[in-house]
Amino acid sequence: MSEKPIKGQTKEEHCVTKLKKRPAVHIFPEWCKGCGICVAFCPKKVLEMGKDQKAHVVYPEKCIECALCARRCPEFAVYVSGEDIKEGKKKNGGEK
Amino acid sequence: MSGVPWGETKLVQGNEAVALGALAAGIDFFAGYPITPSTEVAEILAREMPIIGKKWIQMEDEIASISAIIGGSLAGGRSMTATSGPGFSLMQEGLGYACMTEVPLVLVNVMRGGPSTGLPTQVAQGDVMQARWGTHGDHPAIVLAPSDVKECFELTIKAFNLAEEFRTPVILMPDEVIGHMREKLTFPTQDEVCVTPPSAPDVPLEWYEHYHTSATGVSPMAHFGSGYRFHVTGLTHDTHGFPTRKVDEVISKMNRLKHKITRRLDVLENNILHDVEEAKVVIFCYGSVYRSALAAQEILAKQGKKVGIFRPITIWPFPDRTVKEKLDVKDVILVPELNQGQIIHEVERLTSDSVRVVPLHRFDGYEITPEQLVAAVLEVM
Amino acid sequence: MPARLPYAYKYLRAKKKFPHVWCPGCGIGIVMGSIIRAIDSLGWDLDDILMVSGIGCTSRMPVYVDFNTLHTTHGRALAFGTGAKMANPKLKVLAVMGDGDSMAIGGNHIIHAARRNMDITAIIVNNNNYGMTGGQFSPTTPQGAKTSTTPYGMIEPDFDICKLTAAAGANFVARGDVYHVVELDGIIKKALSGSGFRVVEALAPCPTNFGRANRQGDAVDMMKILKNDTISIAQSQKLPPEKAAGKIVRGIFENRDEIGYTERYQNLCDRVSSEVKK
Repeated sequence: MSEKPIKGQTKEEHCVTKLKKRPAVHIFPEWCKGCGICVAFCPKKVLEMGKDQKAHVVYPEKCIECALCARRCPEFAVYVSGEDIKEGKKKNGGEK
Repeated sequence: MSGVPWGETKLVQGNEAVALGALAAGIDFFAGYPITPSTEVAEILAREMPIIGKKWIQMEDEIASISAIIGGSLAGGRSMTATSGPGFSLMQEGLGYACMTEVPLVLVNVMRGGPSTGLPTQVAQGDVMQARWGTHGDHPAIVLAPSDVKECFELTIKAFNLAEEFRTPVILMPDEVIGHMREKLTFPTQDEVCVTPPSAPDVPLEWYEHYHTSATGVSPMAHFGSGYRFHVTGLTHDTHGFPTRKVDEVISKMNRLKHKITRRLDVLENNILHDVEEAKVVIFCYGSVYRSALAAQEILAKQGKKVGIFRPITIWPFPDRTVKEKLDVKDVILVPELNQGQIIHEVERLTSDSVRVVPLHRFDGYEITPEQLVAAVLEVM
Repeated sequence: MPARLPYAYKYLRAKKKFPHVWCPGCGIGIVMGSIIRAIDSLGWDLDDILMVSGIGCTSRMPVYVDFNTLHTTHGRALAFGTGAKMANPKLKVLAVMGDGDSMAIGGNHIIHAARRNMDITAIIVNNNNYGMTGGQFSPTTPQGAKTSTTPYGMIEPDFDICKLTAAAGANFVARGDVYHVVELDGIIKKALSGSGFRVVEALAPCPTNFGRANRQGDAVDMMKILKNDTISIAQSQKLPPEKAAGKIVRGIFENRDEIGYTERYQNLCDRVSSEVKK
């Protein structure tokens, strides 16, 4: 179940809603150091480690745009494009 | 008493004159920690600065004090701290950081008996070499030594101006006698005092280099929050302030720190000479010992004996050229110091073997008396 | 808060310094991202922010962000920050430090910054050791843990950063970790928007030194440790004692609204200057 919002953090700020347009996860291979965090904790298993020890987007269609990969990437090597997400209640995902 | 008594004549303590000099120089921020014999500077500013809306704080220790004034200076405030031996030792790392990052600030070190706790309420001049080499690594140093209350006022203003002009810390080093003595002082009027305005860059934001290589080796400095966003680090850095280990950038940074001083020694050098040309024997002294030397010169003159006095006000950078030129032709140079011999090594370095350099050390917490100097001079004549 | 990149590039000195210096899986980069998202959602002007740091892995953060940045001497970030805030109150001062930088050599400065309730946000990345110098123990290294200077296990008790800074007087004290990153974003945003002294302890993995020395696996394993070994304040009150034992509690422990030092000093100036005019 997703994390309850923290006191002082509005519900909108905490959750994201699904975007109508197909979101796209982007990974910069030059900045990725292959720590594997994004791959391990992607709720939808969209990402996988490549032979080059870099993270790769394998199932973009499964992405629910929770952007946890981007938030947890220590290298700023991952980002989730598409316009700004309209923030609202989230079905699942987040840090269980 | 509120603010600088412009144009008035008063009986003033040395430390008080330092505090008033800081106010005259437009001090914005003081951070210090109590320590005999410099506490009066902090006490007076604690009373004066809030009235005019300036920032004053007593930090938790001297390390925090030097750190705070560096932060304050970078954020746009003319900053000063005051301490004495033990605090000065604690401030060395911060002092080195300010030298490396070229941050203007004034550090007042009122010298007391050392080492360690030593003779807290008594006079000494034992921090001279520490003022030059106290912090690690090669670095610039500007150190001024006042000999009377009037100079405490004037040299504090000069310290602020030199700090701004050279973008480096300036150390004002009265010894305890100068800091605690009281003397009549006629204050100048405000328009007689010239205060160097804080430097500010005049280039577009994108062109700004925090350490721009210029002819004088000093470039105008922006402040935090002024719209120029830049990086400051104690790591050796390039002209933009970003850490570097590239050989050419390291060399140019280190040479910049050095040449900005050596290139303009004329501006920094400040000596007082009495009858040095004619005399065969010269007393080389600074700080409070200069006062005894003046008295000794008078006593000797009555006995028909002529002695010269060479007194550097700017101790560092040491006036090599003038000392060599004026003193390397003398028979005897007497170097009285309130320590076991520190500046004497500089004099010896600059004079050939034909010149006799005679030390006169007093390190029992009391002043070298004119009589002691007279006896020493007569002995060598 | 959207993790819409490349919003980060508005804040990063991207052309110069990336990829950054921290090891693969080190949590400091995550904390930096959290700070940037918090600042982004607060809409702060880059010119108003001063990020100051001491020495250590965390202290290398300012070079990567396009604020007014100041990388000072070991342990002294808060003292530098105090001076900058006093001289230029407009600046929003944010001190980023590691556990050693803040709690060991910087210990004297942090308790006094808290006592004064100085208007600074201190973000302490706690990875339980000195990473930069090769993994020595710090005042927050857990007892028994191995480091390069505790080859037989840490014998000293460790600090609780939150309890210590709360007791010293900080207005806001909270603990988060880089696994629960959405929560951390919220905590940091709340800290940044407060006044007085605000402390955020962010637990982060140090795979290269601490992780390897204590056989905690790779970055992913260490993130799992953060996931499983931490509980929220609410959980800590609900769970039976044996379940909550040994767990590190996350959340906001202190949220006071005491007057900050800058305002306190300004009141002094107003008072004394009006008295003098009388």
